[in-house]
Amino acid sequence: MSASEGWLAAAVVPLLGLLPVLWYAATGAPSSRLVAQNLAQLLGALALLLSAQGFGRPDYLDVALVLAVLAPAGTLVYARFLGGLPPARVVRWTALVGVPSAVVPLCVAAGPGRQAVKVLVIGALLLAGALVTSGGSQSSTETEPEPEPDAEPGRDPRPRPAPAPDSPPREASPRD
Amino acid sequence: MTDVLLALALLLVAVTATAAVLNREPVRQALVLSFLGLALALLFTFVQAPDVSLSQLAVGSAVTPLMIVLTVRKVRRDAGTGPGPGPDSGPDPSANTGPAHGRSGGDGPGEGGRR
Repeated sequence: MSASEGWLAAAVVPLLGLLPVLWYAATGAPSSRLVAQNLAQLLGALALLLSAQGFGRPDYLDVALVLAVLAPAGTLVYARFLGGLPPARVVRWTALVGVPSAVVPLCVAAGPGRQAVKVLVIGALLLAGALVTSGGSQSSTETEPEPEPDAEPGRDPRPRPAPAPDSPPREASPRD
Repeated sequence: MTDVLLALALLLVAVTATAAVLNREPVRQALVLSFLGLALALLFTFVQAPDVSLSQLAVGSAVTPLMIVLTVRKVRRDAGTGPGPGPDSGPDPSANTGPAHGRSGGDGPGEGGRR
């Protein structure tokens, strides 16, 4: 087995990990789906990193870089709309174990240079994003200002069947 | 080994697309759709098309599910469905119900309220 075949075989591992994650994303509760989507993006970025080395094309790392930037931002946006992100230990431990075990051999294989720096940046982004999103986002959704208030009187011309609440909707989040 | 990667990515795309079709509730469907975008991006990378993969990653994995979530939020707010008046408790109660109930409860009054 040549070296590139070995890298591609290593890329199979996170791909296989995507299959049980897909089960949770397709059948779980909405909060566990959000965690599953977060974990899937982490595993996908690891597969992209390893396959870029396996194909011998360092420019494929751009895809992993874009995914590493988009994944935590997208997860936080979804958490904002779906009402909070539960803390996820599986994402944290997958990142803490998987990212160094993929990034360190890639850096050793790349040698000192621009590619190693790129791999390190992608690894740091993935790790930081996973650590931020695995801690849960209940507090961040609370402190975030509400961009579109619900009970604005001038926006909805139709009479509402539900009685208008007197309590201001900004403090009315009942979950905390 | 490339064939193994390709077969796995193809299997992932097929299973994810089927799951996205079988999920009937739009909010749940949006997250499966995001997964489908990721699986397609992986597949495009494995068939050596990283530029297509880049655009698929941005559009299919981020923008399209976000537009679905935003649309569902807007429709539910305009229809005034859901027991909770708060903006964060709007999507949750209907999302916690079953797929068929969530669809009939969320979309039926929305369509009726618009006409």
